[in-house]
This record gives sequence, structure tokens and C-alpha cells, in this order.
Amino acid sequence: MPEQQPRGEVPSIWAFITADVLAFALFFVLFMAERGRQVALFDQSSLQLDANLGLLNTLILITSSWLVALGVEAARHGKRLALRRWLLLAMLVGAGFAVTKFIEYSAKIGHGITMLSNDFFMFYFALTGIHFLHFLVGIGVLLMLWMQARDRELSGTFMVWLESGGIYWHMVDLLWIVLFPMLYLLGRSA
Amino acid sequence: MNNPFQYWRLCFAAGPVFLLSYFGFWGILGFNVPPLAPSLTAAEMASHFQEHANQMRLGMVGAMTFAPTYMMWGLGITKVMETLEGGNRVLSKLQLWGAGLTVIPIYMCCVFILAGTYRPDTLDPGSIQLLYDMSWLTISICYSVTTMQMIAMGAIFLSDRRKTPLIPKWLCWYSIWGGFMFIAEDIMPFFKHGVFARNGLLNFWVEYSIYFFYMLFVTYYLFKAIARLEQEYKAGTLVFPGNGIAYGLKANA
Amino acid sequence: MNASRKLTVIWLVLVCATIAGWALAENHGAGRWTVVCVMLFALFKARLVFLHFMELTVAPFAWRLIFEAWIAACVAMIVAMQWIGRG
Repeated sequence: MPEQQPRGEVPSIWAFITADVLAFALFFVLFMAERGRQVALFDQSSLQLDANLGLLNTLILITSSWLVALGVEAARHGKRLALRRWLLLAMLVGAGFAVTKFIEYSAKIGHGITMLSNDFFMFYFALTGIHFLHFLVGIGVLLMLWMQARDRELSGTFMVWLESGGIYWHMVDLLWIVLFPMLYLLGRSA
Repeated sequence: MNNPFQYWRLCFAAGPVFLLSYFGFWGILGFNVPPLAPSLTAAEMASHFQEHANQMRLGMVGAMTFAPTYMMWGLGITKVMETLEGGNRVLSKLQLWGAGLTVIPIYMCCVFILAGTYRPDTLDPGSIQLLYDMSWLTISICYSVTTMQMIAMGAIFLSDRRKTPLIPKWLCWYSIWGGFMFIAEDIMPFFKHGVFARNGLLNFWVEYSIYFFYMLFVTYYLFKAIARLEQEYKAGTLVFPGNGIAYGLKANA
Repeated sequence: MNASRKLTVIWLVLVCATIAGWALAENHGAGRWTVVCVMLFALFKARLVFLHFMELTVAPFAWRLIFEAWIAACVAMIVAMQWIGRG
């Protein structure tokens, strides 16, 4: 199977991915450093987040990632219809993330909690906000791939773009895998 | 058509000239590395302006004098982009306009501080503080024209089909990433302390460092690129896409 | 196991690990050791994503190393800082 053989190089988008995960690593450090100075406030604020919605967010992104991976696999076997179906499903499931984000943000803002409320919420809104922008770009990428998949040859340049788009989408999932416990779970009490 | 590459190197060299002048004049002489803290009171700000008026005036006029070098550098990038982009060359033009329009916030951020230093003894401290605030709000939030420049550049150079691309792919992605990451500046006006404030770790040190290195890397590869382009041109293997007529060559199909 | 089935198994494991981490934190409260477990789940999940979804298993080793180091450092940092934070 093609993907089992080790490759000499990776798609160039990995340069972007590396820069982005390093930037987020810095965000994580800055968050934890500030948290260390105000543990009680951070834990208390974190408890105001809805961990069930956070869990749902994580499951949505994981599932959407899986669907994209299935799509790339289908493309490698020349299955155009399957590719389009998986990409469409990935977008539909992924859109659920936007819905839950909207619910979470409006609930907070409705209770008068904004990024100016305290340092925890500054980080919460800024980090999940920047992540959400990455998510939006990702949905755009999936949409373009889905549209192009109708006519493009499932080889050469298009496959590189498809794989690259998939890698980007998995990065959105990867970042959330760290953000979720760090923001939502560290303050949980029994 | 004598030399399709005439003045390109002059444009590339304008990049480091810009960096040196902006960093030296605006940054060091102007006390902008890092920016003055948002937490300073108007009185403290006014006394800083009074104490350092002449040095700051020099810093501001120096930076303004060399501001056009940024656009020249952008033109150099566009010329190389045009060897890859044919047709109506939208992205090359967006890059050029992005670089050109970036000169506006460069001028304006200097003018506001310069105005504060013109009559620092009689101007009320609140106005001095406002002028300094305006300066930083301008230079930090007008990033979007520069983002347009960075993304257009990355996009075109990614399409280079050469075995060893003129501009390495990692730099294309760095350009796109850096352009995108500037969006964190959008929350700068909301904070007067912490990492997102105008002098914060993220919104000053990290963002501007990303940009500083971007200019250095791109300039280096532009000089390498033109050497290769000249070789290809001499060997007759260089193909100018679409609008080749402008170079006195046959248009490419 | 064909590639698609393998991807599906990985998805199921990711779902279980996610729910397990959440349940642990919710039921036990985020004490020092609970956080260690929750973050180890995160490390485990992140590795599944970059190794199998992002296919770093078939990439040049240097790339894989960067990401192994990245997630290890992030998780270690979070665990260490929450540990210290408890005073």
C-alpha cells in the first residue's frame, strides 16, 4: 500500500505546521505561567467553562479528522465519489464545532464574561479564538478540495494539495487535543 | 530589450536598508523597541517627550525619509513573482500594492510621534499620550495590507515547478503563516497589560521578530533567485509566463 | 488490516481516550495525579493523530522527532507547572 512505504520527503506544508505548533506551544507556556501566578482565579474561572461542550468539541474534531483521513485514503485508490462523500461529511461534522463554539461564546458573553473579565478569560478567548480562526481556514480548505475533487485528476498536484489540506485539518484537531484539557480540565473539582 | 533584470538588485537591497533605518531611527532613537508601556500616565509620557524631544525628532524624520525603501523592496519581490505568474498577474499586483500601502502606516506612526515632539512643553500631556497611542495603534493594526503582501508572495512562489524552487517552499509557508499570525494584533487595543498589549511578549516581541526574520530570509533568497534567473535567461531556458511580450520575448502559450 | 480499517480503529481509540480523560477529571477532580493521567491521555491522543492521521510514521525521522519532542515538552510543561502551582 502506497502509504506504508517510507517517503523521502514530506509535503512542504509541514513548515507551516511546525511554525504553528511552536507558536501554540508558546501560548501554552504563557497560559500556564500566568496560571501559576493566579491558580485560584484560573481554576475558579475554568470551572465556569462547560466541560461537556469542551468534550463534544474534541469529539467533533477527532471525528472530522478521521473522515478526512478516510477521504485521502479513498483518493489514493482513485475513488472520487468516496473522497467527495468523506470530505462533505468531514465538513458537516466539523461545522458542529462552530455551532458549539457559538453556544459557548454567547453563553459566556450573555453572562457578562468576556476576554476582559480576567486573565484566564483573556487567554481562553484569545487561544480558542485563534484556534477557531484556524478552524475556519480549515473549513475553507476542505470546501475548496471538495469542489476541486469533482473534476481534478486524483494524482500529482491535486493529491499533494489534498494530503496537505488533510494535514492542516489534523493540526486543528491536534492543537485542540492540548487546549481542551489545559483550559477545561485543570480546574475540575471532584 | 536590454536587461529584463535591471534595477531588481537595487530593489532587493532596499529591504535591508529599510530594516536598518526603521530599526535604528524609529526603533532605537525613537524609543520604540519596545514601545512605551500603555500603563504610563499622561504626565510620565509628556515628561519623556520633553526630555528626549530632539532624539525622538531625529528618529522620526530618519525613519520617514527611508520609508519608501519598503515599497522598493516589495517591487523587487513582485518582479520575481512575475517570472512565475502570467495572465493578469493579480497576486503579483496585490503583493506590490500590499508593500506600497504598508508605507502609509510607516509614515503615519512616525508623524504622530513627531507631532508630539514638536511642542512638548506646551502641549497638554493627554494629547501627547494620545499621539503616542495613535502611533502604535497605526503601525500594529495596519498589518492587514502587509498580510496581503505576505500571503500573495507565498502563494505564487509555492507554484514554482523548478526542482529547486527560486524561493524555498518553507519560506513560502513561513510567509503565509507570518502574515496570518499578525491577526493576533487585532486584540492589542483591548489590553493595556499582559502578552497582548502593544509592548507585550506576543504582540510586540514575537510578532515583530517574525517579521524581522521574514525580511532577512526573503532578501537573501531574492539575491540567490536573480542569479539563477539571469543564468536561465542567458541559457535561453527562462520562460516568462503569459505577459512575456513586456520582456521582448515571445509570449508563452 | 486495511488502511481504512486501521484509521477507524484509531478513531475509536481516540474517542475512548477523550472520554476517559474527561471522565477522570470530572469524577476525581483535577488533583496532581489526575492531571498527570489526563495529560498522558492527551499525549497518547496527539501521537495517534500526528503519527497515523498525519502519517509521520512514514516521514523522514527528523520530522517525527520534532513532533514527539513538541508534544512531550508541552505535556511535561503543563504537568510540571500545575504541580508547582499547587505550592
